Amino acid sequence: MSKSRVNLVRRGDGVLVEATLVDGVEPSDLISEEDWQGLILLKTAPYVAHIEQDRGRPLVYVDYLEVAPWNWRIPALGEEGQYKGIGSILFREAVNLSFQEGFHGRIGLHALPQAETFYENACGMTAIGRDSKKQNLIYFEFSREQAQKFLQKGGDS
Amino acid sequence: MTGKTKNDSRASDAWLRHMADLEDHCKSLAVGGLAHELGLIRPGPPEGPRVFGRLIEFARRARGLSLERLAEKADIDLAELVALECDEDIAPTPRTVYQLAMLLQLDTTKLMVLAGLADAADPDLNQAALKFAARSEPTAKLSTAERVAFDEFVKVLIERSDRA
Repeated sequence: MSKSRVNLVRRGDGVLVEATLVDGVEPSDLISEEDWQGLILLKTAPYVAHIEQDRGRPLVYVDYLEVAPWNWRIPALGEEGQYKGIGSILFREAVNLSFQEGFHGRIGLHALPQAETFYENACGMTAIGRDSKKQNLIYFEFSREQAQKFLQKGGDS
Repeated sequence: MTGKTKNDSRASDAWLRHMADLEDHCKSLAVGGLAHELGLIRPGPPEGPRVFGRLIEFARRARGLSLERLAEKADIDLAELVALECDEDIAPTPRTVYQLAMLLQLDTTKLMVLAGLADAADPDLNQAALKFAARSEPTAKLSTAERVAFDEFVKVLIERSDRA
């Protein structure tokens, strides 16, 4: 188990608050002020890329990613949440692991319908298509170039 | 995750703020791999919460109730009711569905399915929901066509609960 320090953005005043990323066997927690703020579960085998330029090469599969409910922003209910940027920090951790494993940033995941916008537009992943084996969820991938761009610049607005 | 040495740099403040803003414009970041393996992804009705919100709105207008009055009579949170009618992707809480079902005299189980809180195992209900969604548009006053669509849909909800 290892720990690393990351920042989160506090809502309202935008102040950066330091948090601890606890990198366990599985899953990994993002902890701030002794509360967990998000969770990610990653797998390094036996997943391979489907995107044309990397087809058949190994990747990191994001099996689970969720932000703690007290950080959800729900405008219609007037809920603003405590911190923001949690999902991005966790997703960045997945890309980092892919580089560490020698997978050049390749990532794969099945997004729930309400999360498709984040992975396609905010992160810049490629939608490979609906997966009939996973209840028709859309499967997304990061190529090595997309992953590199994500780490350096983030996604597009 | 592995215990290998990290060689990445920490996200810059600019990167974090940029991504946090993008993230704020997205409804969710939830990933479905594990949820699928655990059987936690439920195949909801084709139109999901959109039909539920539309149905509640029509039922309210058909009774000449304001949003405030319906929330009061059903003893539910006004903000949640407004969100249900106005935001197509907000799922109601089980208690809210139950309270509305009691007040509007509709079948609780069927409403739970429409709200995406229970499995959709009834093709007739899905068909009725689709027809209702296709024939109704939210307007200030129920048109004759909307009134017919609403009545037909409510009839399916009541009839099927009677047979169950």
